[in-house]
Amino acid sequence: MGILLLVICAVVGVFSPSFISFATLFEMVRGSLAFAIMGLGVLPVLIAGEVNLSFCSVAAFSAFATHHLLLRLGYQGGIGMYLILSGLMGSLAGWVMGVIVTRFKLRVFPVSLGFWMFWYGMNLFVISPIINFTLPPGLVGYYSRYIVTVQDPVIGVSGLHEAIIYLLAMALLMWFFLRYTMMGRGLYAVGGNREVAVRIGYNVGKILTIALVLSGALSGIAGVIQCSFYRYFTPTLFRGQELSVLTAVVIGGASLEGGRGSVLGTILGVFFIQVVTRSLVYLGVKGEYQQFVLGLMLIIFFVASSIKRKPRPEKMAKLEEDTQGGR
Amino acid sequence: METQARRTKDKIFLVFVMFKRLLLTHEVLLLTALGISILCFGLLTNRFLTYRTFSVIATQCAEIGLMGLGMGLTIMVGGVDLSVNDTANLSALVAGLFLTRLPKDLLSTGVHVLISVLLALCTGILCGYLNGFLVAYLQVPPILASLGTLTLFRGISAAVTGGTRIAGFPRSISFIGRGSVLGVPIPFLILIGSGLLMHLIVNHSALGYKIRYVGTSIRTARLSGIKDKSTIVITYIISGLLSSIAGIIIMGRTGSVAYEYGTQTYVLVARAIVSLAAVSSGSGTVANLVLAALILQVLSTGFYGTMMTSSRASFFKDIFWGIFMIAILIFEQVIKRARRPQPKKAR
Repeated sequence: MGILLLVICAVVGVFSPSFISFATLFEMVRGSLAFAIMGLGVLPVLIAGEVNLSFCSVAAFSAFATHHLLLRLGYQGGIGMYLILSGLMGSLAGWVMGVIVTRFKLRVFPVSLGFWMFWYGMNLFVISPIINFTLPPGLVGYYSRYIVTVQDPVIGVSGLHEAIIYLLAMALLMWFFLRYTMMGRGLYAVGGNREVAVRIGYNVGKILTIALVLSGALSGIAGVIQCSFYRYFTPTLFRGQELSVLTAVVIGGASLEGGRGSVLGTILGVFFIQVVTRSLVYLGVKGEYQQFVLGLMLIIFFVASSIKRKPRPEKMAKLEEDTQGGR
Repeated sequence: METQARRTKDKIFLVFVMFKRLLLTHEVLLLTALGISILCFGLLTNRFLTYRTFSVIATQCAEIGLMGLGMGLTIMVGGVDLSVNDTANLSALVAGLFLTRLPKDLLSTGVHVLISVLLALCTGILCGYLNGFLVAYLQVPPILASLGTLTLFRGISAAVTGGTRIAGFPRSISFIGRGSVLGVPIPFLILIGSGLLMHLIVNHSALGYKIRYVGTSIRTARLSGIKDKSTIVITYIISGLLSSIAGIIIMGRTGSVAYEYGTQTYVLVARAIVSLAAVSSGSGTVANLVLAALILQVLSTGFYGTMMTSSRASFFKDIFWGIFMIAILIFEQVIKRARRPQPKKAR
C-alpha cells in the first residue's frame, strides 16, 4: 500500500515537478487529517464485522452542539475544551447506538442509517440551520498554527499543522488498543467469526458497544478539527462524505466482512484518496473528469485486490496435500 | 370427556396462533403504520387529507420506490446496489442529451421521445450489467463494486455535461413525470406496474426462486445446479433498469437533468426503504418494499405540510425518519420474538 502510494507520487512528480514539495505534502496532510481521524474511528467497527454509516452525522452534531454550547457559556479558550466536549458527545452518541444494537440484537448498518438522519436532523432543527462564523478568541487563527512553515512558489506559505499531533497520538493509542488489549483482540475475534468468539467467552455486546463508543469519540474530535480548519461551524459538516471515508478505510485493507484492518493501512488509505484526487489536479485533469477517473481507479483497485485475494487452485491443492500428509 | 375438552382447547389455541401469525406479518404491520401516520396527519391539519397531498405523495414516492425496489432485489440476492441513484441520473442524462442535441425535425416527436426513453433503459441495463459483472464474475464485494461504479457513473455524467444542467425537453416527457390518468399520477402507476411485475418475478417465476435461493446460500445454489453467476447479473440488470425508469420520471418531473441530483441522500433513503421492508438476503416481498416507500413519503410530505409555518419544517422530518426507522427495527425484533413459537410447557 505504501509502495503504491510512493509510486503514484513519483509518477505524478515526473509529469508535474511542482507536485513534489513539502508544501504539497503539508497541504495534503492538512486536507486528510480530519478524515484520517474519522477513518480511525470507522476501523474498529469494521474490524468487528459491522458497518456504521452514522459517523459523519455524529461528527457534525457533536462539533456543532459543542460550538453552540460553548458560545452560549462565553467560552474564551482554545481547542482543548472543544475536543474534550465534542469527543464526549460523540462517545455518548456511540454508546446510545451500542445499547440499542446489543439490547435488541440488531445489525449496526440499518440502525446507523436511522442515526445518520437523526443527528443531521437534530443539528438543523433543534440547534440551528445556519452556518456559524463566530469563533471564540482561542480558536481564531488556529487554522494556521503550524509546527513547521515553508514558503512555496505555487501554494504560498504553508506548513505542517499542529493537529497532526492529535492524529499521531490517536493512531498510536488505537494501534496499542487493537494490538495489545483483550478488547482489541476481541474485536478481531468477533469480526472473524462471531459464533467462535462467543464460545471462547468474549462478551460480543460489550465489545461492539466499545467499538461504537470509540468511533463516536473519534468522529466528534474529527468534526471539531475540520471545523477549525474551515473557520466556521456548519450543521451539515461532512454530509455526503460517508461513503468516501468508508472507501478509504477499505482501500487501507479493512474488510467489510470483518476481522481484518490495521491502523497504518487506514491512514494510508485516506492519504491514497487524497493523493489521487490532488494529483489529478496537478496532472491537469479537468474538474469534471476527476470523478470519472477516480471511479475508474477505484474499480480497478477493487478488482485487482479481489483477484489477489482469491486462493489459486495449485496453492489450494498443495495445501490439501499438506494436510493429508499430516494425517 | 377430559380429552374432548383438551382437544377444543388445542383447537382454540391453534386458531389463536394462526391469527397471531397473520396479524403480525410484516405487510399488516406496515399497513397499520401507514394507516396510523395518515390518520395522525389528518388529525393534525386539515390540509393533509386532500387530493393534492395524495397526488404529491404518489408522484414523489415513485422515484424513491423504484430505486428501493432495485436495491431490494439486489439485497435479496445477497448483494447491494449503491449506484441506483447515479444509474438513474446517468440514464436520464443519456435520454436528455439525445433529446436536446439531435436535430428535432429528423423524426416526429413521439418517435423521438420513445427512442430517448429506450436509450435511457439501455443505459440502465448496461450500468446494471457492469455491476453484476463486477460482483458475479470478478468477485468484488458488492458494496465496493457499487461504490466504484457509483463514482464512475457520476463521473461520466459530470464529464459529459461539464457540471451543467440540461433542460428544454418536449412536453411528452414531462407528461411521464407530471401527468395523470383518471386522477392517478403516472409515476405512481409506473411504480405499481413495476411492483406487480417484480412481485410476479420474485414470487411466481423460476428466476425469483433462483434469486432467493442464491441469496440464502450461494454455495448450496451452485451445488444444486443453479447458474448463480448469471442469476446475480440478471438481478443487477433489473435493478439498473428500475433505476433508469426512476431517472426518466425524475427527468419528467423536474424538467431538467443534472449529475448531482439526489446524490447520497437518495441512496441512503433507498437503503432505508429496504430495511423498513425487512428485506434481507434470501427473503422479502415486493409489496413490503412499495409499502415502505409509501410510508416514508407520507411521513416526509406530512411533516412538511404540518409544519409549513415553521422555517425549519423540512429538517424535522430528518429527526423523525431517524427515530421512526430505529423504532421500526426494534419493534420488528420484538415482534419476531413474539412470533417465534413458544417452547411447549410440560403437561
